[in-house]
Amino acid sequence: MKGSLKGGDDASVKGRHIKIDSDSDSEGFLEEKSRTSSKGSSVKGGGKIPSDSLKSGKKVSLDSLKSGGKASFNTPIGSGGKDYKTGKAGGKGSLPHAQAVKVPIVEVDLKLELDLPKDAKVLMDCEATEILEGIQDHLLVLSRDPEIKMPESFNKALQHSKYGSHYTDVQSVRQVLDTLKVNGVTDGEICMIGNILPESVDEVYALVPSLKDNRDNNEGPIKDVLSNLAKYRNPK
Amino acid sequence: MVFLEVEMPWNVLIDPDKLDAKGLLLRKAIIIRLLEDIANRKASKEHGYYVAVTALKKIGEGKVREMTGEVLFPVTFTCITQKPSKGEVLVGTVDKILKQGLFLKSGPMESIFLSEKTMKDYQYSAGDNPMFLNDKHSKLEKDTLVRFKIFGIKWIESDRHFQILATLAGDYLGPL
Repeated sequence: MKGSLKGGDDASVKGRHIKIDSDSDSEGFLEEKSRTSSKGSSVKGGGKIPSDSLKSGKKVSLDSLKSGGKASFNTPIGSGGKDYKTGKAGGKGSLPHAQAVKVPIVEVDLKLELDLPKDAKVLMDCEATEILEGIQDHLLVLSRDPEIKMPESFNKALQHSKYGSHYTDVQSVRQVLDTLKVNGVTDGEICMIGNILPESVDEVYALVPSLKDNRDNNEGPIKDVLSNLAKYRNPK
Repeated sequence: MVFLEVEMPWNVLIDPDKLDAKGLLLRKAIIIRLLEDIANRKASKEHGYYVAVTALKKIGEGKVREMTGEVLFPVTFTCITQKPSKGEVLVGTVDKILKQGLFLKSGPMESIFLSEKTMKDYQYSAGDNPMFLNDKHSKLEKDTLVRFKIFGIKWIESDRHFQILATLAGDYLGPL
């Protein structure tokens, strides 16, 4: 009797442990952390630093920033002192990344690479505004309850989306844009067209270069869509 | 930064004193705890910045944790997130100006770096009010609205935010 009880306890404890792991949701992240830190330490502990950092300039410079941005790390890359100073000033250190990579100045066909999580739907700014404004209305009442906490991004996102919503009738805009799906335009591209508020077809192709591949097919429909969209534009 | 509507599974832990036989209070406790969890999480690499929870779709069967008496409920909910992606066209405001480039703000993202090297023909002009100017007298100074493209993203796990690099190389990009 006792024994069986004990066994039951053990099993449940085990089960719980596994659960803790899965609901903490940080497995992948922890792994990544340890990986980067081990990378950092391998860079740290050796006389090979200059050759390493020269070889894979981008990564090493970022790692070195993380581990304190020692000046000795930066010097082999070139403009070391500068990197370090501005990294500090920006607080986030995205600058050395830019300098180490040496970007070609003209990068015309930078295509949209939407990496969507599963079960996700892309919303245009104007659609998001509608939803967020709805939530904000509720918040006026809800915020009396101190237990209710909103993500810090909420207000910033609302502000951002308001800027991006230039239409009077969101449903019609969605309907108009959805007609492009037949011509092989993806959700991401549709969303971009809706957010950008383009004035001409050239502007669409310049800003969403992935559409160019299929220009023969989609140029006409896009023209129609633009003239349709103009009807729903918010007079400023 | 496109807005996404994502359906997500989550596990919510409820204290035993919040367990109420009259259903609705329990539901409220779950929602409050879920909102708190999401607010604390701030952002994730997969979903981007969490903006708001829109609906609680399903509450599964709770499991009691024997050591603490808390109950773990598996739930499914939908939320709005904002995720930056490469190649995207965005509008931001100029926040800080340095000789090497400038920092932009857009929505939840605070430090989007636009390097002087990816700014086409803009030149730095020092002074009390530093700015970037080009031949056509178009200028980038503090609080200018700029349309830019994202060309680099890196997720920073320790701070739970994205580092973003912007570019103005391309037609129809620049101050608005």
